Amino acid sequence: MNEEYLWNGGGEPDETTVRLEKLLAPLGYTESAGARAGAGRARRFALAWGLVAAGTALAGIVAVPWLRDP
Amino acid sequence: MLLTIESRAEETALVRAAQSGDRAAFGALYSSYGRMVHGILLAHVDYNDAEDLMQDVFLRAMEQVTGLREATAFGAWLGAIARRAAFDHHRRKRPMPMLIDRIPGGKRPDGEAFEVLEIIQRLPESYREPLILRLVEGMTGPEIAARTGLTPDSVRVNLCRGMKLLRDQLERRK
Repeated sequence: MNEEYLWNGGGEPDETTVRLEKLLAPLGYTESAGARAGAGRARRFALAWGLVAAGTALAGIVAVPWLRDP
Repeated sequence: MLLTIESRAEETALVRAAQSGDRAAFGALYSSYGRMVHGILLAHVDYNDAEDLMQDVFLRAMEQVTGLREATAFGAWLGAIARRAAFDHHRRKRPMPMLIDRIPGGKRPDGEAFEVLEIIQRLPESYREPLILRLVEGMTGPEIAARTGLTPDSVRVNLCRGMKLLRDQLERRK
């Protein structure tokens, strides 16, 4: 193992380190991925509120006839 | 990129500006520290949760940055917030296997990457963060030390020992 390459990318590239860098780099942070995660969270939040609103509306529709006609 | 004296001074100015409510300065710090926070989170939680928790960490940091006394300690302080967010996440989360299908579109690394990531995540804690910051986030050892506030010697030792352990485990897997 070339410790210098692992430490600062200097010296002779180490075969295993280079392979792992290439393999794992796509899992690293990019600003666009961060923005996607934020958008994904906002979508999930909107979906949850949408479901709650739809459930409340449905409960209202079902309950109104019962309230009118005791 | 290793932090130079100029960029350190620039960064300290950004932290001070963020403390006085400058959102653009905080945005610049987000860009600058995104990889570090993501790497620290990834050392503790699964891939999809790390991306989600990024927002929480920076939100907490934005709320608490006025209380940071030493602007030069921003990296270490932010790292501590990320570790705490990961810890809180584990306390409230139900165990759930990592699902590769949940990865947002346009970024689907192959399964071997996740297998190796899981092996790293099972290594002792002191080796996980430097290895992930080096191999996943593409930071150099000196950059890891400068960002996290750890000493270069300790980062170097943990990187080398962690890499040796990782190699052994990868060999055993074959």
